[in-house]
Formats: sequence, structure tokens, C-alpha cells
Amino acid sequence: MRPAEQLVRTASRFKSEVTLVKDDIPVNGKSILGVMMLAAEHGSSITVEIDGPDESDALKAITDMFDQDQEA
Amino acid sequence: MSDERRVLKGIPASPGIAIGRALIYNRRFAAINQRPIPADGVEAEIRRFRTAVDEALEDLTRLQRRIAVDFDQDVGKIFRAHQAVLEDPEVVDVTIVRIRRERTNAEYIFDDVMRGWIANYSSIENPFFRERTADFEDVHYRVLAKLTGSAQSGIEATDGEIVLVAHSLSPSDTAELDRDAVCGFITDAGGQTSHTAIVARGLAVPAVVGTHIATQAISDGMMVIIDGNSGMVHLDPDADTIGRYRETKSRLSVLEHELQELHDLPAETRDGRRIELSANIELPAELEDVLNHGADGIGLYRTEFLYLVRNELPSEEDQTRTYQRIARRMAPNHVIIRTLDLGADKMPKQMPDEANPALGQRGIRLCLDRPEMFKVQLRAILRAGAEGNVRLMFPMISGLQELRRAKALLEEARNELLEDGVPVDPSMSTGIMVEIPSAALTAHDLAKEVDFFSIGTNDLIQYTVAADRGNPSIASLYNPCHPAVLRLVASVIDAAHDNGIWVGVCGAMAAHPLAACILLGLGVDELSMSPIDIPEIKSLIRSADYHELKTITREALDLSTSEEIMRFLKPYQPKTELDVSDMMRI
Repeated sequence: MRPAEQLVRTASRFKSEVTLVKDDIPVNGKSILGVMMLAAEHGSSITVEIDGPDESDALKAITDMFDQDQEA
Repeated sequence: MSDERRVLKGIPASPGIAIGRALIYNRRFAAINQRPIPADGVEAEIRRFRTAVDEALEDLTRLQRRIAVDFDQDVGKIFRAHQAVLEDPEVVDVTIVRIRRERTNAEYIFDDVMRGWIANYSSIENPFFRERTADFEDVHYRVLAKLTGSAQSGIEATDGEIVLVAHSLSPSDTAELDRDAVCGFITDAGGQTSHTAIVARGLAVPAVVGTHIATQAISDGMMVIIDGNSGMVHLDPDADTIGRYRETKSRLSVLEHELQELHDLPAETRDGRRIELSANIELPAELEDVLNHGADGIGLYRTEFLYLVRNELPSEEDQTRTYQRIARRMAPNHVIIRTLDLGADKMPKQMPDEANPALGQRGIRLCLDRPEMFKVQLRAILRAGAEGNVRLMFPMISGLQELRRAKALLEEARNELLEDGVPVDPSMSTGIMVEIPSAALTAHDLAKEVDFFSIGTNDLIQYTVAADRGNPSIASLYNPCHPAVLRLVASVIDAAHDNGIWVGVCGAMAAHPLAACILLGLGVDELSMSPIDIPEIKSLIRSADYHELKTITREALDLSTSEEIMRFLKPYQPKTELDVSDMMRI
């Protein structure tokens, strides 16, 4: 599975809103089209904003995913 | 004879003859009008939209399953990408929110949302992402067709033998057709490796592509004849022409049946010289064809399709799976996998346009320039090599230094896999295509560092006589029997044998009866061609006398023009009962 798909799938498991921000452009972390647009140019950093009832679980799941991705 | 205006000339993409009525396939739909929705109708409008999305998703699941069975799982993945678009909240939820807020009809809002995404993606620089707009358009159209009730396509609804005429056909178009009704394809766009061509060959349906004007020249319901061997399309033919083609078509099917009887017999001359007849393929869907036509193995598996069908580079896992599947299906016979032979002209917009792509950064040159991409493929081939019957071949090698660089990368990939404990073929048989005159002239040096040669005659001829065979005004210069070509081929065969390695031919020359006799006489060990050509060449070889051909082809090398050579050799070409090429000259 590609990282973009994986991120969307992880984010979609939670009620919280997940927003990715790159170069001041926010996209919905549950939208594959949005995330892929960000992924199109790699190399720069992305900020993840999570807001909602299960935000801490969501944050953990997403950071775990990135960590695993680094190892793989 | 039909007069000139009634014949279109295109590129023969899939052989055979089809006679039927034209159906112009046009994926346009009625203009989308903006319509206000009364407050009490909004929920019903949203339900209508949800139903359309659900139906489109169901269609996609069905298509994905169907195409995965019929063609290739990799092609099936395209539909998975389409589904992801229809599961995206920024498409579906946003449309619903806007229908409610703007009290406007679903098709207008959905159209607007999709146009927004298509515009966003069109401006991305990275071509792999930019080309996703094709996926969006497919989904866009599919949902709008549900909402507006316009016919999705006329393809499924017809009866009798129809010939499909289109500007181009997308994977979903071809997957959706009714196989029993469609007897042939004609497209304006495309070449021999276009998607339409590959699917048509997989389905064994005659096709002519690259006609440029078929959709304008042909009208709905017009009688047409496709000659998939010559690339001719006859429009509204007279009764005479139809009669002639019908006769040829039925003779061809009888012949096809007779050729099948050769299936289990070896390609061995009357005096006991046996060579291998292998198949050239492009995708796993062709394997059944290969086995049905009695090939001894795969002499050339072109891996470009794996790269062209996607919007991104294929992963090591995807490639390994595909290669393993082919190796297992063909076992115990060998499979020669040729590494990526794309040119800058085909790697879409990745690189600056080249003024002269045939002499540009293609094949091994592109791969050596992008070692990270190349090593993904090398690792996949090495992993599939654990099956035991896989061989590897580098294309477009121009000299020894290039070969050594490619082999060093292969070695690197092998060591990495071995370190990780991944099973590989530790001593994979590795060869090169000899298709550049500089390689042919240094074949003695190259032969010392490879396990086999496969002479790619299409490019070798083009580069030797400096003529593009696709260019009609100079096509006559492109001649396999040019003495320069034959002498070059002979010297490569001798260089291989002097160094104890085997040598094959995988260009179109291998499937041309007279040329195949010459190659046999010059001593090739293997001929590789389209699966459908194998029975005819096998029958030819079984009627031939190797020792006689050996003597006379060596004599022919001293003649000074191709006319002399052909005139001299023609009487020695064995007569077989099964001369398809003569029959096809209508």
C-alpha cells in the first residue's frame, strides 16, 4: 500500500478532523485526492493538525504509521 | 479493387479478418444544466446522487473482477483507483453538502466538484500525479451517465457482429465490451503497443489502430472489413470484396486448425537440426496464447507495459509477482525477461522532448541514468529467478562499458537480496539484445561476458540502413535482406558460437518465412516471435533441409544487392502446405 493510501485509511478510522498543512495549504487527511496532491511534491515538511474527541488516539496511530514507514 | 477513398490504412495491431457493421463509440454526454431544487426536494436529490455513486461503485467492482480474471491483475488495479475517488469525502460529502446548501441539482454540483479536482491535478508538475486526471475523468463520466440517464455506451446493447470504431479505447471501455458482439476494433489513435492493441491481441480480435481519421470517415452502421494483418480497413466494400474476404477468413480458420496439429512437434529440420521457437509477449494475459501455439518458451517478455499502464512506477512487489506468475505458468520452459526498454518518447513528460528519440535516451541508457528505478526491476527479476527458469536480457547495449555497468548494478542488487536472505537465482543466465551496429561489430568482445545474445532485428535493420520502417516514403529501404544486414547478423551468430554461447533472433525477421530460412541457415539456435506466428514457422522448419540452407546462405552473403539475394534464395525456401503469407495476399 502506498503511503498516501495508508495515511487516508488510518485517518478515516477516527472521528476527529485530520488536516494536513503544507506550504500554508490545508487538505483533508481523509481525502485520498487531497493527500495525493500534497504527496506529489515530496521533500518538504508537512504539519498534521488533529481536532476532535479521539484526537490523541488518532495522533498516535498516525505517528506510528510514519515511524513504521521509515523502517520499512 | 475498391477505390482509394474507400480504404483506410492504419497500423495492424491484432491479426485476422473481421467483417461487420461499424459502431462509433463516443463517450460524450448531454450538456449539464444547472437546475434549482425546491427545499422539500433536497433530500430526494441527495438520495439520487448517493444511488448514482453506489451504482458506479458496483460497476467498478464488477469490472475489476472481470478484468482481473481476463487480463491482468495490474490492469484491474486501475479500477481500484477509480473506486477510491468515489469513496473520497472531498468528492462525495462535499457534493452532498453543496447540494443542500446551494439547492442545486446533483449533476451540476458533482460536475463542478470534479472539474475542480481535475483542474488542480492538471497543474501538478509531476507527470505521474498529473496523469491521474484520466482516472478522474473516467469516474466523472461514469457518475454523470448514471445521473443523466444517458446511455453508458452502446457497446453492450448491440446484436450481431459489430466493429467498434473509436478515437481511442480506455481500459474500462475495453473491459466492458460484449465479447460475443464485438468482432474487431478500429481506432484513430494508438500504435502496436497501445492498450487497444494489447487487449485486442489478448482477446484474439482483429484490430487496426492509428488510422487518424476512422471516426470521421466511418459512419454508424457502415459495413467495414478489418484486415488485421495488413492494417487495411475497407469502408462500405462491394459484394466482391466482401466475398473475397469471407473466403480468406474461412480458409484461415481451417488453416489455424491444421497448424494446431503441429503443437507438440519439435521445430526440427528434415535432417535433424533442432532449434527453439519461443514467443514474444507483452503481458501475462498472452500466456494462454503462447501455450496454445506450442512455443518452447518466452524469448522476449517486454516489461514496458508494467510501466505504461500505471500512473506511478511499479513496485518491486508488483513486478516480482507478475514475473513469478509468468515463470510458474511457463515452467519448465524458460522465460527471458527484457529489462525496461522505454525511450524518452514514451516516459510521458518525464523528460525533455528529444529531437531524435530513436537515437536518444532509451533502453539501458535511461536505466543506467536512473539506477534506483532500474534496481527495483533487477531485484524483482532476480527474485522471480528463484523459480529457476528465468533469464535476464539488457536492451540497447552499444558496447562493453555499458554492459559492465548494467552487470555491476545487477550484482549489487543480487548481493543486497542475498544479504537480506531473500531467495534469488544465484547464477541467472544473463544476455543482451544485439540491436545496435556497434554491438554487432564488437560481438566477439561482448560474447565473452554474457550467456546469450538475442538479435533484435527491427532496430538492427533500422540503425544499419538508417531508415525508419514506420515512415512510408522510405520504408522500402528497410530491408531485412540487405547484404549489410545479413552479413552483420551472420557475424553476430559466428561470434556467439566461437565463444560458446547461444544466439537467437527476436525481431520481426524471425517470423518472415524467407528470412527465417536464412537465419536457420546461418545457424541461429532460437527464433522468437508473436505466438500466432509459431505454427507457420514451425511447419516451415520441419520441411527445411539445414545442410542445404547452410551452404547456400553462406554463398548468398557474397551477393551484393538484396534483390540478388532474394532471387537466389527464394527457390530454396521450402514449400509447405501452410503458407499463410501467400494466402494473405488478397
